[in-house]
Amino acid sequence: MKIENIRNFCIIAHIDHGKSTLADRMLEATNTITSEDMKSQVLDDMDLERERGITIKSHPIQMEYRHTDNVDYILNLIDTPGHVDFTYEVSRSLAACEGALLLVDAAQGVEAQTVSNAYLALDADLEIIPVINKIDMPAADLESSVSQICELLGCSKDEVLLISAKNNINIQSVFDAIIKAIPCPKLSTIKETRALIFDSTFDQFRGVVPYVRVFDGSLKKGMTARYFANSSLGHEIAEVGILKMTKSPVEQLNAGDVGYIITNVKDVRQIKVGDTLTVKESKASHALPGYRPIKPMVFAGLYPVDTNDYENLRLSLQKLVLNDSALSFEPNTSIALGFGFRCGFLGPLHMEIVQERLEREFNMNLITTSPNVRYRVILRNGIKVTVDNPADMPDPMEIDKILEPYINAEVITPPEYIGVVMKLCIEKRGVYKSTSYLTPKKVQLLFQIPLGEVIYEFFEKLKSITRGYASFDYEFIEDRPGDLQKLDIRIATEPVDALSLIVHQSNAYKQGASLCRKLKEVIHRQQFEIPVQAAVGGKILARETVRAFRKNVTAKCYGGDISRKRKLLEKQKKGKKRMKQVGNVELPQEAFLAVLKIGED
Amino acid sequence: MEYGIYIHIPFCIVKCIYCDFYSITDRDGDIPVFVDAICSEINSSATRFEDPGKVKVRTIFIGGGTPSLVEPKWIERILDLLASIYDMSSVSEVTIEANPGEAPLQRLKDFRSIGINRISMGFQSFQPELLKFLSRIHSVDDCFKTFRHARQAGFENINTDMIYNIPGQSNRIWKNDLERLIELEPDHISAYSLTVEKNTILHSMVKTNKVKMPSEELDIEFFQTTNDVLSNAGFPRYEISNFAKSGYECGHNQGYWRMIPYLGFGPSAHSYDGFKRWWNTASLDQYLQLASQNESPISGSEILSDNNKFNELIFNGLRMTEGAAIKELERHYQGLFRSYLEQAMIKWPQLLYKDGYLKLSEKGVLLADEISADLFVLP
Repeated sequence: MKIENIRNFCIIAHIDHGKSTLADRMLEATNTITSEDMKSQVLDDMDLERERGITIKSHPIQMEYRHTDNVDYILNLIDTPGHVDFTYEVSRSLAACEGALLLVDAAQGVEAQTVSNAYLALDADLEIIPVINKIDMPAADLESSVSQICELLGCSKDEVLLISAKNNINIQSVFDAIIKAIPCPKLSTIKETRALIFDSTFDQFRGVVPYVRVFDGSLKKGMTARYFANSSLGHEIAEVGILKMTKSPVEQLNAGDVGYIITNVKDVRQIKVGDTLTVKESKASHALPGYRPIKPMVFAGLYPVDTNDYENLRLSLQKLVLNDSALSFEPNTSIALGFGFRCGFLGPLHMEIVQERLEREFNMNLITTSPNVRYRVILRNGIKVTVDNPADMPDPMEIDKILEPYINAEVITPPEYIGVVMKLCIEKRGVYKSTSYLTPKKVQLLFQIPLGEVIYEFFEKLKSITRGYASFDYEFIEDRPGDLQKLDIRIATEPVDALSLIVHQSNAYKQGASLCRKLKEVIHRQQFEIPVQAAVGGKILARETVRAFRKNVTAKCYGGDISRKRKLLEKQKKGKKRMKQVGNVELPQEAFLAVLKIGED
Repeated sequence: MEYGIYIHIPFCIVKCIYCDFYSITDRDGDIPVFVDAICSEINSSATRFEDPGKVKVRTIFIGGGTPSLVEPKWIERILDLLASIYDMSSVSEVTIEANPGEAPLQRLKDFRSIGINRISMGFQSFQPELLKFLSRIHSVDDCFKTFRHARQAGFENINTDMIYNIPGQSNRIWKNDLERLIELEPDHISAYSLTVEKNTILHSMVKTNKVKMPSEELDIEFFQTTNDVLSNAGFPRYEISNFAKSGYECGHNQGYWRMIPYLGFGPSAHSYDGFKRWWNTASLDQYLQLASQNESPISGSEILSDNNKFNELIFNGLRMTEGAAIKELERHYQGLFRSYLEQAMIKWPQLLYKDGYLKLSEKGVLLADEISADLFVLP
């Protein structure tokens, strides 16, 4: 295939704007997948469908397309992770392309991720094709969504494609635009091989499979792969190929091509997304721009409810990491919770996904401590330490300064919610930056907020105060000093290390009191009284008491009540099984998450 | 095989604010079709058994709602039908629920004459303002009058229902009410702690802070007062909320707690055959409609695993003064029952083990749910 007839592109969109539906239609239109395959996929059982759904759509896929002028093209569709914690990964996928379809739901219009993805695509110098999807929905507002997208991209209305991926309306216009508007890969004059690793997966038989976009030179079986970010590594390339519905080996991958390589690397952490791959046989001297090591931003402790499950949890995490190199973990011992792991995540949503996968796919019964960010602490003696576990915070007497990560936060909302969004962001210690109207009905608000404030139910709150209309995106900017303190929780006078958290001085009393109240609600009454206290240093800020239980008995129970009552008590017992014994108090899982609910009252 | 039979009559003149049983008002006109429907349900129930004539009915309980609103001739039709299908030769107890003021003397006499031998009356309180709060439509005098009429009609086994833990009620008032009740010489007394059940008017009153329930301390005081006053008067407790003169315990309810099978007929009624439990739609309209189409009113069922049965034996057994039969528990326990029992008794000193029964101490009864749940076995 001549390089003029190759198009590398991706689809970028806010969640639920129809990215995978459009991808499906294109795969069908090019006969890459038959509609029969589609159906059988849908008919499969839930888990499998989900897994397949991920497999099919998460790898790049090559389509063979015959254009209206009877010329054959290769279209490489490169998938981008669809959620806010993965900005860097998205940027790497974009770097592998020459163009992007910016997909916008006709009823929803431009949302926060539309904006941030559009900026990423512009940064990557991509040709952007604006596409309005779901035009046949009753709630579609074409005029408004077209004008929003034009405003965002500075394009003219004629350039905007109007389609419905679901009902196969105007899909041809998408192909036309890809062929016409997206440039073919640049012909490279450099001979030395350079390929961008924009994603990778793990195959249990063949090890890590990096997905690459070749920019210069070529990749062939038998060459030795070298990596800029990890120069000590060198692996023989066992196979190169392209990805259709399955892996399809080819002779070689040339500049402009998108494909995979197999090197039998078993440790997924050795292959870094964003790194440049070269070969010993034709070694490049400079890496492609833009590589950044992945840094976890949010941390939480994961502990098995049953201490015997520690080894299982370790194995599960190891398996998870194979497919999720952004997850990090190391063993950690909590006085309250015993042996477990301190895990690092890209962001709060990433953490939720990992937690859910561990519980659902690996059947782990876990206690997760409240998440926190990584603090940089400068001690009075000048030593700098990083703290990602509040329990490790040095004594306040030794601390000179604590720095915390800040983010640029972008909220897009209908104007009637500006007031409540402002209030929320300022409560979260946000610094207001700017307001700009995308259209009269849509406003973009920019704030700088400590990341630590955004990981406690920020998304949920934002959604609820704006009735689901606001969308949110963020990026890390820098660490800044803050008046932070460690808040300790004592239950039945015992400090519970896993409940400690870092709070801003101005909020310490309020958060301490609120946390005590929440804990009082979730701690099951026991045969004795349980005091719950919040303290900073040695000073008690708040106290609540869980009273001893004295009466718990159903007054009436006859034939019709027995099933219901039994199920209720069985549920109660199940909940108890998940409790963690701390001292002589049984703490439910919710106690460790109570901190997330602070400020809800 | 021995069975209890329950008939659910859902009609009421007024729905009480605290009641979470299925009942419906202003539908008395439907009583005749309802009786048709319940008869067709009883008829179809026969097909469950290879030989229904060998099914021994031990007790019958006609509850509601307000069954005393139904004319005796209809009740008679139901009882006759049951007798034509099942073996009723050893029925020891046939109860009907009646509200004071809603069952005239003649009606009580008629009930007695068709074979009903036990009557259960919802007195609830002797304080006019508390009756009003509970949205009861009878007066205190109605209680005494209907009770007298029941005796006159020949009922030698009468239960009276009373309620404590009512907002505004004091322990002294409660004690006086109990003493007044004892003077009346009923044979059985049910005394319930007023519970705020979901989907009741009381629930929304409490939620919106229109009503504040008494404190837990007061509830416990009521509970102990009840126990003291009634046991001194010759009504020992035999279940959390039930007290009776010796020999007058309610055999039908004991059947539930001892997990003896039962058949329930009427909307929302539950049945249990020792293996499976099933229940009817809790809607009169749906119940009537299904019957008219000759379809089953069953809306759900579950098969009880050994674990489920074990848990029910514990939960129901610990409600009773006699306790849960060890033999039965052991039969449904998978694993080493003895070591299970030892650990349970160490953890909960309120548990007593005596004469083949596991039961709760007098104080432990207050924590019956807490302890039961903890003793449950999960799959």
